[in-house]
Amino acid sequence: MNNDQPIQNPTFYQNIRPMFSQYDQVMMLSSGRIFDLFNYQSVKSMANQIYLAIQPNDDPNMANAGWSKLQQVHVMPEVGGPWPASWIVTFKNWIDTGLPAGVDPSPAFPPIADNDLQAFIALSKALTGIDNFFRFNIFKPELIKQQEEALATIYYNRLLQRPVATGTNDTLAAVLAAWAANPDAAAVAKQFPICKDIILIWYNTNTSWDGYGTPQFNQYKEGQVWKVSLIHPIGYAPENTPFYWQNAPTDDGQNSGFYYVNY
Amino acid sequence: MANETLYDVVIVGAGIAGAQMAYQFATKGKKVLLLEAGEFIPNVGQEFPVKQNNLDRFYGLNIKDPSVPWPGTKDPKTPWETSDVKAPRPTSPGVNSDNSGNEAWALKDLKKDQPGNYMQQTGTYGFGSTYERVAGGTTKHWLGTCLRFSPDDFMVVSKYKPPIAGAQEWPITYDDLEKYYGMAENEIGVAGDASVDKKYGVPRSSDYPMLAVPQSFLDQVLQQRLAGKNIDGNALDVVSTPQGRNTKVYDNRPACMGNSSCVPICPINAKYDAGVHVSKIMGDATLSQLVTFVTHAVAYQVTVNADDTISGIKYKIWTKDSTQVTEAVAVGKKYVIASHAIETAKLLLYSPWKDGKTVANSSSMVGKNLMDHICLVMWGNLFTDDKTGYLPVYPYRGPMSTSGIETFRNTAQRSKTAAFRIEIGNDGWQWPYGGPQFNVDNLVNAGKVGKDLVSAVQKVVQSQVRFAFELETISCDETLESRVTLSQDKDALGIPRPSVSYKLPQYTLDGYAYAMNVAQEFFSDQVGNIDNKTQVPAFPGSPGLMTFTPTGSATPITIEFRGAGHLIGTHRMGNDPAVSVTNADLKCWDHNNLYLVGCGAFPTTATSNPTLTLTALALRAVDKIMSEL
Repeated sequence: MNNDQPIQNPTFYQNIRPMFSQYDQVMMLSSGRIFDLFNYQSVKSMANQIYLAIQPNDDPNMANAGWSKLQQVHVMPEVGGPWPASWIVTFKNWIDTGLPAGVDPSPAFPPIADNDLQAFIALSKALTGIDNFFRFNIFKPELIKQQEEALATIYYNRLLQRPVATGTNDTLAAVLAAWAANPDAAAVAKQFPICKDIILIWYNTNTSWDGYGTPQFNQYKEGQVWKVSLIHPIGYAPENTPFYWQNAPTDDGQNSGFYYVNY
Repeated sequence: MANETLYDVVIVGAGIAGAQMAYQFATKGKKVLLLEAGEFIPNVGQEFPVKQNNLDRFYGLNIKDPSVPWPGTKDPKTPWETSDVKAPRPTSPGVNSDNSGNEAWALKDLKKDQPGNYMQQTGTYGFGSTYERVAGGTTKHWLGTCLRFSPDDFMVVSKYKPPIAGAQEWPITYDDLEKYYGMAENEIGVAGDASVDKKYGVPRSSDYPMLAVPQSFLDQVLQQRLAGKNIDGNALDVVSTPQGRNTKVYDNRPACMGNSSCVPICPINAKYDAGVHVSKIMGDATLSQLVTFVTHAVAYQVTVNADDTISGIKYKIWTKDSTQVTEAVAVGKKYVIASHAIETAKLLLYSPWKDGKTVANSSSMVGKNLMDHICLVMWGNLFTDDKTGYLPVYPYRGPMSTSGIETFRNTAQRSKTAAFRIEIGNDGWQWPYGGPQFNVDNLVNAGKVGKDLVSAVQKVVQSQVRFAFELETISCDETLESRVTLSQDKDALGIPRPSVSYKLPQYTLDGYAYAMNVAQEFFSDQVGNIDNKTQVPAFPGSPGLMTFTPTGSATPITIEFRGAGHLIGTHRMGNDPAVSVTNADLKCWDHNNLYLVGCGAFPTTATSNPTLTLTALALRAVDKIMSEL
C-alpha cells in the first residue's frame, strides 16, 4: 500500500479492506456496533460513518460515537495512530465512485444440491457430536442456518477432492446414501474411512490427505475444536473482556477469548 | 565502491540490540548507518497488508513453528545459486526449509541438516533454536519474557564454585547493569510486579512502566494447589512473570488481548518487537534524518587498518525482484555488530585479519561456547483433587506464559548442578505435542465419534498443563567445542553458510538430571497431582534425543532436550583477553572501535531469559561509545 498518493478509483477488496487491521475489525465487532470491517456489505452500509470517524480529531466527544482517541480504550483508530491523509482521500473517493466491491479474492465454491447439502450437514452433526456449529452466535441466531450452509458448501467441495482408495466406494456420495438408509453415525464411521475426514474438517478445518492440506485462513477460525474446548483459535481472540484469561470460561463461551458478536 | 558518508556509528543488524542502539544514538544527535540483512515488515495496523499476510500464513499452516510467518526460507527444490532468498534464516532441526508442514517430520534423520537448509548441523544432536533475519530480528518471534538476571547470576562461579574446568565469570555485576535494566524496561514496555523482584532479592531503583499481566486461570489453580508446598526446601510459589507486553496503551500500541500466539506473531502488536524501534526512528522527522536505515543489506566482511582499528564493513545489497546485487562499504567512527550469536560469529570468521587470525579473534574464542537454555519440557493433565478425573484449567488462552516458579534459580544445589527456572505454559501441549487439533486427530484415529468425541476432546484439552525447566549453562572448557564455524557451502550471495556443532557440558546435564527428579516429585499426587503425559521422544528421531550418564551414577539416562530459542555465547565478554572476545563494555580486545553486542556476549546463560539483559548491556554500551565519540 502506497501511503503517499490517494487512489482515484478504489474498490473494497483491493484497496479499502487492506486499510483495516485485524485489530480494527475486532474492535468494531466486539464493541456492540455489530459491523465487520472485513465484510463488504457491512463497510458499505456504514461508509459515511466510517468516513467521519477517520477524520483527524482530538475531540473527546468522538468517544461517544465509539471512535476514541482516549487512552486505554480499545477502539480504533487509537492504535497505529490516525490514518494518513491519502488514505482518507482514498476512502472518500471510494464513496464518491459508488462503493464498488472489486474482485473478491476468496475462492468461489460451486453450490451443492440442497438435499445433498442438508444430508451432509446432518451427517456432520452426528459424526462430530456437535448440534450447532455456530452456538456462540447468540446475537443473530437467525443467521446460523445460512452460516452453516456456507461453511458446509466449502467443506463438501473439499471432500469431493479426496482420493478414493482403489476397489472401495469410500466416497461422499456412498456415505450419504448409507446414512440415508441407516442414520447411525458409529456404523457409517466404521464402514467409511472418509468419515474421519468429515470430522477433521469440521473440528480442525483440515483433512488427512495431502499432508493434512492447508486450511484457508478464514476457515481456520471456524474450527470446532476451539468452541468445543471453550478456547479460541490460536492467534485470534476477538473477545473484548479485558484480560479474559484470568477467569474460567462459561458454557456459552464467555472468557473463552472467542466471545464476540459473531454473525 | 566506497561509501562516501562517514557515520558516527555503523550498526549491523536491526534486532533489539541494533535497533535500540540506533535509536539511542540518534536521540543524542549522532549519525548512524543501520544495516539490516532482511526485509522491514511494518508493525503498525495501518500497514496491514504486509502484516496480515504474515498472520494469514500463520493461520493456514498446521505446524506453527516459531519462524512460520517470517521470510527467509528457501524452497528446498531450488538450488542456492539461483535462489531469490538472499537473507536466509535457519529452520528448526528436522523441519524442511520451506516450513511446508508435516512431511518434514517424516524425514529419517531429524538431527541433521535437511537438504538445502541454511544452517548446517554437524553435531551428534541438534541445536534446537533458531533466529530471524528481518528488521526486528528474533524479537519477531520471541515470547516476551523480561526477567532480570538475579545478582547471583553474575557471580555464579565465584559464589557457588561449581565443579567446572575453565568456568567463566561475568566481568560485571548486577549493580553495573541495574540502571540499564530500568531503561530497557521502559524502552521495551515491560509489564511486571516489582514485589516479586523484591521477594527474590533482585533490587530495583525504578518501577515497571506497566502493571503486571494478570496471571491466567490456570496459574491461579496451580498457585492454590502448590501453596505451602516445597521440593528440596524450595517453595513452589507461582509468581507473575514480567513481560514485554502491554497492559495499557503504551508507545501507541494496544493492551494485550490474549491472542495466545505470542510466538511467533502478535496480531495486534501488544507484544513489543524491535520493529517498534525501527518504526520509531523512521516515523520521526529528526531521527530519520540521522539514521540511514538500509534493508536487504547483508554485511559479509569486516576490514581492518594497519593500526588494528576497523576500516569498514563490506555489504551486499539485494533486491527481491531481480538478481541484481550491489556492493558497498560502510565506514564509520565506531562499529557495532548486532547480528545475534550465530551471524555475528559468521561475519567475524569470514573476515581475515593478520597472522592467520580472523577479526576480533586473537583469543580464538569467536564462534565457540554456543549455548542455550536447554529445556526439560514436561506435560500432562491436571487431576481433580480426588483424582477421579481431570480438572479443567482452560489453556490456550492469554499470553503463552504468565507465570513461573523462580525458587530453583539460586539454591545451594547450584554448587553441584545447573540451576533452572520453571516456566508455566498457558499454551497447552502446543510446544511439545502440537495444538489441540492433534488431540482431535488422535481421538478420531482411536474411533471416537459423536458425543463421545466431544467429551473426550474436552477432557484431554481443557486440563492440559505444560512446564519448561530452563537449565543454565556456564561457558567452560567443555563448551569450547560447542561452536559455530563456516560451512564449505555458500548461500545465494556466495557467503559461507553457518555450520553448528552443539555440545552440552556435564554440569548442565547433571542439572537436567536433577530437574527430572524435581519434575517427578512436582507431578506426584502429593504435589501437583498431574497425570504425566510426557513422552521421550515426543516424535521419533527427535533432534534433542541423547543419552548421558549423570555424575555419581553408573546408569546412563536418555533424555530429550529442547532449545529455548536463546542463542548465547560465541563472542563472550570477560576480564581476560586470552579467553574472551570483548571487555565488559562489549568492546573488542583486538580493535578499539569495534563492539559486539547481543547475547553472544554472555559468558553464562544465567537462569532467566536473555533479552532484557542483552538490551540493558546494549544500552550500557551506548553510554560507553558516546563517551568516546
